[in-house]
Amino acid sequence: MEKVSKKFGGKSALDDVGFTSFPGEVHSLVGENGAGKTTLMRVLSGLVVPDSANIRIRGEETTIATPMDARGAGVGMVHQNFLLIPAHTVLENLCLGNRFVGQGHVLPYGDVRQKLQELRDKTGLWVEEDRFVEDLSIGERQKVEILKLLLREPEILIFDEPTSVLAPQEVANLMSIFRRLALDGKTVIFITHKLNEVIEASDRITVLKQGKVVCRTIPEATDVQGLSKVMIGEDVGASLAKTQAPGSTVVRLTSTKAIGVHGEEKLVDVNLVVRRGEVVGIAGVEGNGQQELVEILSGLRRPDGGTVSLPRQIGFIPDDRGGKALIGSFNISENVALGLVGDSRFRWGPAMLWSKINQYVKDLIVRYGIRAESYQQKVDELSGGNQQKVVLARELKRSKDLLVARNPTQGLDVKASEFFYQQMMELLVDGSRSESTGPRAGVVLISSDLEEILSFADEIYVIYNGELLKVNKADVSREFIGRLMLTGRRTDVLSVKSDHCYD
Amino acid sequence: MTNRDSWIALAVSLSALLLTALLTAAALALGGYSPLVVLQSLLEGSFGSLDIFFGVTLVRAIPLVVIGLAVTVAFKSGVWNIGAEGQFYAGSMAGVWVGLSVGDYPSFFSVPLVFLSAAAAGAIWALLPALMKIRLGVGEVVTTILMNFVAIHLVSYVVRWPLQESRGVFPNTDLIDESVRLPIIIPGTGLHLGFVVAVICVVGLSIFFNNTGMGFQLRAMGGSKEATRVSGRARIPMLLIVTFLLSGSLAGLAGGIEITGRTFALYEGMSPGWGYTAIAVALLADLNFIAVLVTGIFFGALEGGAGAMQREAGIPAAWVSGIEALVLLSVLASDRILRRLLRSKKKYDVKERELDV
Amino acid sequence: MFESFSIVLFLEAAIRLAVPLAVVALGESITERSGVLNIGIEGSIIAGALCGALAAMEWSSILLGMVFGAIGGGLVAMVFAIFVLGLNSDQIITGTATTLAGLGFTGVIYQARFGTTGSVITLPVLKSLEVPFLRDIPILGPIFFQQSITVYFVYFLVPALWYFLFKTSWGLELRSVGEDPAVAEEAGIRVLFVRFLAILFGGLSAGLAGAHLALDSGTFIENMSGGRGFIAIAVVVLGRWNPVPIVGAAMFFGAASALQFLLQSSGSNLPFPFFLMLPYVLTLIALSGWFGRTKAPGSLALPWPPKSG
Repeated sequence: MEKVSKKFGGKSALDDVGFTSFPGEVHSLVGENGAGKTTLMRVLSGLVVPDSANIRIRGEETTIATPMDARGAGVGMVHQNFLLIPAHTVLENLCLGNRFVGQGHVLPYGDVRQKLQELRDKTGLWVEEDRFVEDLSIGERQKVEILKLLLREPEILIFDEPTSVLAPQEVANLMSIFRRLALDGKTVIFITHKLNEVIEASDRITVLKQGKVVCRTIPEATDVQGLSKVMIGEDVGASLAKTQAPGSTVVRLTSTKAIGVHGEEKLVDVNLVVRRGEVVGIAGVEGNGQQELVEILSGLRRPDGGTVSLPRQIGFIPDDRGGKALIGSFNISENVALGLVGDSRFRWGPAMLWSKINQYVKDLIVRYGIRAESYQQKVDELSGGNQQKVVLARELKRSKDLLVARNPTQGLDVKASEFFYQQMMELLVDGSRSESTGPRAGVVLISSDLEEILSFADEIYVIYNGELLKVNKADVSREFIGRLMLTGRRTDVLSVKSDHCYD
Repeated sequence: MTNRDSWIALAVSLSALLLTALLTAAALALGGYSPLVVLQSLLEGSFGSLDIFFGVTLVRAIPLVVIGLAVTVAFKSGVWNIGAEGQFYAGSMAGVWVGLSVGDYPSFFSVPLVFLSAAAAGAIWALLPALMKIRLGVGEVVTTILMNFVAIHLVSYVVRWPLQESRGVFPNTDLIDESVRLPIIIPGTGLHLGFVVAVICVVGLSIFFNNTGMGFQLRAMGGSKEATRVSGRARIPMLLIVTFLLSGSLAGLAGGIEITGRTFALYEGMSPGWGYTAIAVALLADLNFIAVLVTGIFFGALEGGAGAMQREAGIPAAWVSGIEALVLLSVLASDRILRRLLRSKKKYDVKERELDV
Repeated sequence: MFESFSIVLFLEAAIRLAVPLAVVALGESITERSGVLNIGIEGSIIAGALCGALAAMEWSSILLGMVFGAIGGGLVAMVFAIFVLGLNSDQIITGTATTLAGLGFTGVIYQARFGTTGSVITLPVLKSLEVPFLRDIPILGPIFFQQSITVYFVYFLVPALWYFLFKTSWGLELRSVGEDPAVAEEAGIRVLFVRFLAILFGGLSAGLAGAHLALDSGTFIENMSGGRGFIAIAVVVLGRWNPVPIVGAAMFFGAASALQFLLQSSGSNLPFPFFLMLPYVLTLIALSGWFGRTKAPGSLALPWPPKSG
């Protein structure tokens, strides 16, 4: 692939990217969230049409405009979200994924079974084909996805963050599958941001940053530290702005556990203390247990183990504002009122005092600069940034004791983000604002934006595979936290090598 | 509800009615009838005189309004209660049983007792689907339909065995005592106090949903369960129970009103499918309680005028259920189409505005 | 006590009552397998009954009655499909509407044609077809092989549908659309087209069952579908969306009705409504998971494409 460019709404997602991979190799494509790795591979598999690109497969100029083109060119992709039907058997899922393989309209069970046997002999990949997918573990489901792909006999296999859902043993397993596929002459492209996997498993490495290739290397020439430096950028000594001494404890989690729907551990013995007047920042790559943690912190979910003590008045800014924070068919006033149902100021017995609420919401609209016709406008009709402001207006107001914010500035412009930070910092101060008569609040800021955490947090944790790792004050640096986010390791087990990038 | 929403809702209902009228007129003309003659006899049979309006249209409207409210409560809160029919029968059974056994007490004691037991029975009938939804995650559509049939067969047992009329011949109960009957509010018309009860329910529910915290949470649940749970910090199971019980008790109450106000006895087929017609009543009203009163009377007029239509214009009475179905389909179609048109325009407006700034 | 003779009669009656139910339920199960809950199937049954009766009367032909019955049911299902697939209207509300429309307009047409007094119409009556040799098997012969043609159709339909659902790629595609339309679409399946065909099949089957009702009784009566559309939905649940158990469940509902007639005709004072109620109660229990996992197709009654917000 050469000169691949793609812009989304004026923002450059891929900027003149070149990428080369050879048969028989495991090639890692690494980079931060939003660096363009997945977009690049979606171009190759026909899911994204690039603005400009020059793609050659086995030396031949190829146009890939649709997934069918990609399939024809021997490119296959295993997505992050499995496209499997849980209520069907493995065999049925394999047949559905390859509906054009069979002849006639009788399901080619016999053929598929035979091919599975061949694949098992060749790669060792095996799942009992008569089991139902819903009874399989995540790792087994992933194997089904890989088998589904292999039945199409592709030459190039792309794996989009395949390890993010796997337990460590399963990761090792997957890596050996990669190796065997490569030995079989296939090209394996492996998208990830977990660097130790990259070093262990790949033959070659390409690093993307902000839509550009910043490094091409091989594992022997580099190490985790070197790579993370390339990925995240120069190590600027970040300092924590300690404004004032924290007050009493508002949140205490002790050995808190959370179990997922498939019985997997989502949170492992989490210990966390939040005190009034401090911002606790929790950094981490998405999908490491943040969802469970915020639901427990905001009181929406009971832990599956350990003890949790929470304050009474908690504001919560969830990440999926469309689905969780707002009701699209309701107007601004009603959406704000979702947070006021229990508020005695706006109640008279069981009745809600709508005129008072509307007056209050009008003030909020002015104060938060929400661009809307009136407080009666439906939130469906607002832009994304203004929707987020409605959420902020409601949740900051109820954060008398605690604010739990997850990626709060996502979708906000710079000015609106500044405004949010300012409002958040005000929560920490005692009675500085006329109406906040209560004690100052604590803030938990959970974000995949490291910048945000470094700028505002008094205490920093990293969440990795459901474990909460505390970052000591002395260790606070972009590099250290970045490595912890990506590898879960505090120290490098590998010796430090100078980072070599080939081109 | 913003003003704009109300206007859209009104536009949807009116265009649905217009569409129904056009389709019906076309069908009538095709069948060789004059639509105008039919309309005239329909109007005369439902609004022709005050006697007819009060005694026929409004009396027929009462169960439709009250069951329409039951459906509205459920649909507004995001619960697909298709079981109003069964809840109505449960209420009728409890009502007639209490009415027959209450003994000689003054009306102001015995009638409310009948209402209370009818509402309670309707609520109980809705409780099982509610528990199955909350505890086992079983959708309420199928369970409430099943409960309808259980109720219908239970009625057929009740009127043949324990509560059969004293001669033991016909499958219906004895008539309840005069003292347990609702008084006529407009003498000589048959319009009974049940209409006032229906209006009180309309007003009460309207206030409850628009002005109380719990009513607001129920509406929010109808908008988005997840947002109500996360941002409203509401206990969804509790709200679901409230919805089912409220909806069921209204449908049950309708049974109590019919027993004490019109039929005075229980028999099989007491409801000509009101539980399903009420869905049309509720949707034509765009799930607005006040509007349910209007659409309920509209459907009452249709059913009331059907007899006259048949006598005067020779139109089969079955037309009425056909028209009811057309109303429902027209509402669905005009809702989709109108909202799609208005929405796409709206998006354009927003974009324009953002470019301005 | 019943003698063996009356047991044969009872079972024969149970099958006779179960057959229309089984045909409707088999059709509905295919519709539901595609993720569409058509509670308007009642409208298709009554439309099938009327169309079947009119056609059979016009041409004095049972076969044409059956064919036009199926077409009538299919047409009502088309109305449902236009709303549900074309406008993405809610399936439950649309189903209620098509039920009301079916019951209403068949009444209109019937009354317009035969007058409001309901003069009795007489149709050629379905005769039992006796299968040579098999009918002579003691007990089983009269029960299974001296029945109307529809019964033999069910004998054919059950293995055919089973094979279709579980052994052909079409069946797999249908089930995938019902479980997860997003996955099916990714695999290159036209979700709405599959659903359209599934709704059509359900309508045709229901229409056929309606025609059977009319031809079996030799007349058409308003509302003669008698809630079978809703009962069929319960049958599908009790039969867990699988052809063989669905027929078993239909038999069970049929047996309950047969028992009612038997009890009434024998002058017994056992409360028959409880027997009629029993199948519904058992369906509720089945839904509660007492007989093991009863799982509906994953996307049943959900709109496609999904509504945002």
